[in-house]
Amino acid sequence: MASETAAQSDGQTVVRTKDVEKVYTMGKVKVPALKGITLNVLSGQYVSIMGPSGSGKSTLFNMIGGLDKPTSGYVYIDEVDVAQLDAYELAWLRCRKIGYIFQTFNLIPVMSALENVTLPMTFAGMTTDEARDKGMALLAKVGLDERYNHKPFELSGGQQQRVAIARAMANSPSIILADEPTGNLDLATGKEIITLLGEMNRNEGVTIITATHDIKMLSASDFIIWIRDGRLAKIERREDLHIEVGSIGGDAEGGVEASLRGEGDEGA
Amino acid sequence: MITISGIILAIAFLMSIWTGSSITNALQAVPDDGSKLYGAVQAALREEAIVRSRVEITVAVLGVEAPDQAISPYTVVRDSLMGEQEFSVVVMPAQADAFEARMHPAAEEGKPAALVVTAVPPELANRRFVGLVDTFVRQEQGTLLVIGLESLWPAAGEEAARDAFLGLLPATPTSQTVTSASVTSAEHPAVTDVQWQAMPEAPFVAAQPGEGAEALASADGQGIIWLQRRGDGTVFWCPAAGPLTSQAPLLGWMGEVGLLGEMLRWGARHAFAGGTSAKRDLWLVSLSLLVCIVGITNAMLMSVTERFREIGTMKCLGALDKFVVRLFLIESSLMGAAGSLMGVALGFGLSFVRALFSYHVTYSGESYWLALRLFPGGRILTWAVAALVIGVVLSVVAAIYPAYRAARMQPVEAMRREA
Repeated sequence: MASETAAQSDGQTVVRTKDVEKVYTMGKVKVPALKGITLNVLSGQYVSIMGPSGSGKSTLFNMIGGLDKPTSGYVYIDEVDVAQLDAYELAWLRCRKIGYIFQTFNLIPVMSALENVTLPMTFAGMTTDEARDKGMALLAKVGLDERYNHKPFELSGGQQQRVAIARAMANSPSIILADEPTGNLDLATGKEIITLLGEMNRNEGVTIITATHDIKMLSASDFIIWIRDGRLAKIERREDLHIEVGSIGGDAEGGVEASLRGEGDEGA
Repeated sequence: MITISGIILAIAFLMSIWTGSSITNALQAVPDDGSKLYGAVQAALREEAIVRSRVEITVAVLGVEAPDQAISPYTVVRDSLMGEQEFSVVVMPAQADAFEARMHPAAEEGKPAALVVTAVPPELANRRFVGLVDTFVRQEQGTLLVIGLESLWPAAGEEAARDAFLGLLPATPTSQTVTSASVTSAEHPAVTDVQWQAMPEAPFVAAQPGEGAEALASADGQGIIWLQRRGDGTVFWCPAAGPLTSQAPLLGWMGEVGLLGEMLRWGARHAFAGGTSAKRDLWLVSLSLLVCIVGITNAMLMSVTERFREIGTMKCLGALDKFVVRLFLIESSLMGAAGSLMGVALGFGLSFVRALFSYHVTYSGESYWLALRLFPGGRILTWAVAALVIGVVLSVVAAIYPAYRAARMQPVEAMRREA
């Protein structure tokens, strides 16, 4: 495993897994999704979990986020074993400690942007006035304070995802879990979202864990965890990343970002 | 929307039944004080009952067919009653035992609701006959119409029986003649609608009115009719001074102006008291409400299945299971309340309009909108609240299963890729 120290970490382990295994039983067939994963995520890090489809990436993501329990092994969030928690404690965890962002945005369609953002605050017991003030502040941070009373269908995809980010920050969680946040967004909007997530990570000090296919995410992450076939393939730091992509006769607008190696554009 | 429309219709059905029966009960509750209102109410109930329930009044006609006369009172009575749709005429047998069996209070089959006595067959002119007639009058309902007196009883016969029979009647005849001035025309609900005019000079029989007797004079001076209430029945008595022949024209006239039918209906007015087939209707309503519940459960289940993402997301935001349950139950109760409100309005509106028109009657010259006049506001309000409560409770009960299915959904559902 690579060294754990990163630029912004204060050294505290926020999420820790130990020999996590998950086996899905479909009838008589047992499908092992995770085959023993041990990793640490420290507070304040920006971690991306990457891997091909069927590699167990989503399963690992669900484990870390307290959405599923491993068949064997342990998952510790803030040194608390998730498998031991009952329904109330899990709900509390999801309300106060973790913020979720989804590929399909998952805003409540009948509520306005502000109402969506303040919904978790209601679950946390905040008063209406406090919630409203904090909600407006969060919307301002993601740049949507003018659209606070728009319903999701009146917002574009990128705007909806920004509302979702504001919502994830509602109760000042220590972890944000983002499952393919740019999956349903176009190139430019996706870039905006990634930038925004990076800002949240730097300015608010929130630990961000994403599961993604999106290569654009790599530039923002501190660490990349590669999963293949249910096992950890490797963990890379951003500095060590070695990406080469080319564009086909286009410029930066239409093509893909150039290499990060620092050797300048290598457009073909 | 579909679920709401189901509730609207079922609750409307329930409310319309309750409204209808409330209004009918209000009409039935009008006290028998001889007022015009009471008369109007009875007329309205009767019309409604004849139209809807096809009431049948069995009239027992006791008399003698006089073969040597073209018209006898017996024939007149029988023929004029045959023409009216709600009367079924039964010719009373001459044998004493059969008569007794028919008239017995406990006899259900063919028990007459009215008795018209135009002549007493000799075999029956005895104490038993009088006793039975008395019993008839004292029972719950019934009209006794006695035509003539002198001719009823043969000169020779059981004096005691004759005196006892006379004791049933309201007046004692004398042989003097009276003028119409001494006859007062009473307002009796049974006969109010008939055009009465006292004739200045007519060969009336003078009579000593008994207690509680009213007198009515005929329009063409044919005779006087006395009526008296006995028990809850009524005795109408038409005295006649002359032989049988003078009674026939009187009867003919009574039949023409509808007085005959009116008198007989009066005694059987309880049969017209209305009332719906409430039991069967409530059974239908229960079934339709049951179907509604099934429909609501189905629709809510569909809604829960469609909203898997929303529910999963809420759980990711920290919602407890019981929050989700409460969410769906409240949603369902609000839908139930809205639907019930509309159903109550619809049911009440339709039923009230119908009652308004079916209980509208023109009685002794005045037009009565009885449903408005006797509107049972308190009862209907109670029923409305009851219907509303039933609708809401059923909606909530129907949503219990879907709500628990929703609560058991896992938060990871929020991440599902497929719809």
